[in-house]
Amino acid sequence: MRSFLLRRLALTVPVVMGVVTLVFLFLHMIPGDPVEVLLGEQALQADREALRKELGLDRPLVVQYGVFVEGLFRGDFGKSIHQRRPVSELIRSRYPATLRLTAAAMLVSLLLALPAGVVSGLRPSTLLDHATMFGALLGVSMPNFWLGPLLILLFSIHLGLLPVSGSEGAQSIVLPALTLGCSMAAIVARMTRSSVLECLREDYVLTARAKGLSETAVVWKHVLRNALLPVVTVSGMQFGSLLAGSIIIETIFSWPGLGSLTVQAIQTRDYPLVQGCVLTIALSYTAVNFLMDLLYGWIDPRIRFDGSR
Amino acid sequence: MVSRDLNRWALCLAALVLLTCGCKGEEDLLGQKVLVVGLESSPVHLDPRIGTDAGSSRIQQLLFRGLFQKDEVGEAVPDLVQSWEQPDPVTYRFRLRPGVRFHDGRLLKARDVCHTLESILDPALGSPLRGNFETIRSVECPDQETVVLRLSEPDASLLTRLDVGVVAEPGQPGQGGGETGGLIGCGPFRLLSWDPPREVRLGAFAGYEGGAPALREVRFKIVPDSTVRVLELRKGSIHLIQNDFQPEVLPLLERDGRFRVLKDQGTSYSYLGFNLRDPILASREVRRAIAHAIDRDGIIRYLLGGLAAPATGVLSPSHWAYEPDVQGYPYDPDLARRLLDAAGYPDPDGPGPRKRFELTYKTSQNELRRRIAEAIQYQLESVGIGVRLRSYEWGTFFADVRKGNFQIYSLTWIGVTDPDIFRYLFASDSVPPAGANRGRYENPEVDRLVKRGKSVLDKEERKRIYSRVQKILAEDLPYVSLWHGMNVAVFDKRIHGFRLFPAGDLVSLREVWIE
Repeated sequence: MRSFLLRRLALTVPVVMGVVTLVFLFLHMIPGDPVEVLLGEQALQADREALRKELGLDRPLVVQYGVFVEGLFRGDFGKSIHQRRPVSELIRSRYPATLRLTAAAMLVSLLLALPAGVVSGLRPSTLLDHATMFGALLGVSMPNFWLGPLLILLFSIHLGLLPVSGSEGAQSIVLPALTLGCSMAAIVARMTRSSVLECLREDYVLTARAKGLSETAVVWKHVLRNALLPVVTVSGMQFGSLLAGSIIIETIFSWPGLGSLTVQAIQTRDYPLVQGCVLTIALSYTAVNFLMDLLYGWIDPRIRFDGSR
Repeated sequence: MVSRDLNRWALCLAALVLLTCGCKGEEDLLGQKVLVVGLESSPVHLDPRIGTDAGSSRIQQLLFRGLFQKDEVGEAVPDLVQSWEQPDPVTYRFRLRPGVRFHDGRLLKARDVCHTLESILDPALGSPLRGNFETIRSVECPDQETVVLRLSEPDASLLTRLDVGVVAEPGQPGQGGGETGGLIGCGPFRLLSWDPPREVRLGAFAGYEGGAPALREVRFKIVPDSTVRVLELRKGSIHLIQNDFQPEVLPLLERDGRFRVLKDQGTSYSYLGFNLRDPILASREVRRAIAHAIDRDGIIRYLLGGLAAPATGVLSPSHWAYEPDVQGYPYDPDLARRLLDAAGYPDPDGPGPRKRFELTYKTSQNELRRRIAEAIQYQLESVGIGVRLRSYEWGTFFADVRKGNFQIYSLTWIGVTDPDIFRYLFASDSVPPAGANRGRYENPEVDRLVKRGKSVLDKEERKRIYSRVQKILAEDLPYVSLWHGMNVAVFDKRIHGFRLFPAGDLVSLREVWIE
């Protein structure tokens, strides 16, 4: 277990640095000058040059990269060019909202998808199965930017139950989580169904039934646990990508998450802020992958971290 | 057995949904004299010396006051200034209004004005406004109520630029940090809180010189999506929206008896810009042909919902320096074709698919702008000009425009006030990064006129100068003028006193009262 942890940690550093380095290079290659965006067209050329010097943008790219990496190891992400505040402070102000939305969306997704997928798997080719899979198809086909306003119209305007947008109060998370969770649930439900169907064909299920176990016990103790592995993989990947923020959901519901901060930073060529956001996303993704690996070991004890079986 | 377990799941889910859904009604904030305004984006910086974007400016105007403010026709009228004189063309002496207080109760003094201007001129602050005041040679405060500005040369548009908010000089007794980081203004509202991605809250300032506003609080709620902003308005969680919504929803809101709709001519100016160093577009006949090929009225009617008026130049008809008698370009595709033939670009196959020449039209990714670009593309193709549309992310698009890496593009100027803008847009030494002559237009007579217009102080003389400038530009066509946008406000009908300003300012919120 210890060697597994050390191996994963050792791998995390080059992966994250690779991502951040690529983003650094691409960011400096695309057209657009952060100084021009910040000062506007009417600024004096002398002021532009002074600001460029102050921000270190007049130095060679290699030097800028070196300064950035050195700051990373000190835990200093630098200051946002556009908002003139520390990058870490801006990310800290947005990341909890992204975490909350991600967790809520995953909860909605699993609450909808797992029962639906299990029922479909247990009752293949029945009306219930067809209805569930049709619902899953609908869920994956409906774009978020269409579903979101529809849910707002229904729950906020006509029924008056929920706020339209914003992040104040516990109720404000319901609609964005539902919008995100529905499309994710569709994928997880289909994956769960396939996985359950496959497990039901296994010999140990036949043995369990032959031993006289109740159907509930067969499903809960044998089928579900084995069927969960692929579901955990898909859910983990979805969780990781959600941590990058969903710009569409954040725009529709005025949700102050990391996605909108990252997009805004790119549009204003706010190099330190983009790099800080990307680093946060990369670290989040690797952390989620790591947790998924640990979860595999708990779900299936046959998977050993030291490679033995 | 499995079905029973699933039934339990369903019951739990239903309970969870019900628990998280309250049946809480919408709080009547308007009844508490709290007005919620919907904004598309968060202000970037509330310091009036630094935040120059439209979103920041509109809130700064409620927090701070300047020496002057702009009236409905764009002229500078005194605000903090009680009287002023100009003993010579390069000296201004301002006498401040007595009894004006900052939000912390302290009286406004000349030192505060001097501090504001000196800090803008100080390169250390990095103020984008420094270029606006480059003619100021010195700022003096001979006594507590007098400010003297000495210039390096006459500057006719200085007073319109002195609407920048005055901030209290720091380090004074009673000043605190608070939400503004120590910035204190003397506007009708004071800053209560600023949560950048969510909202800005302003509270009425009881000590405001003209009497405290009738509103107790103004909240600016940030709602990036235009559809959701309208839904918030319908729900009652936003009470006022100005501009920033799709034209097609306006008839719906007009029919809704809960709202009042105000419309008025604005000063925003939409145009098609040319790169005059392009060999095709260097021809004035080609530019005139393009102008005649565009059906502005049709685009305004069908794409903008009638919320614009055709433009003849940069200045709107309400501007004091507007010249109505300039060459016009009515929609006339036949004339456009004849002009292109005369320019040496005949149609190679008549009504066939081959084009006279091809142009690349760059625009941003804004949905409305793309639709307008598609309409213009269709209209130009109907006279035989092939158009390749390219839409880019804003930063990339704007960088290309600034560098001259385009043939034609479309954009909008907002907040056009002083006619010195002609120097900024069309003087040959205003090519970026020095100015905004993006099309690289050159005309020695325009250069001479705009330079003179900046230094002449007599208003009638300036009007004559800029009249001539507008006529020349209408003939040369570095821009094809498209339209001036209208300002539209939709608000709860219990709100009274709100007025539209041509530049889209929200200053009339200080006069708003709730029924």
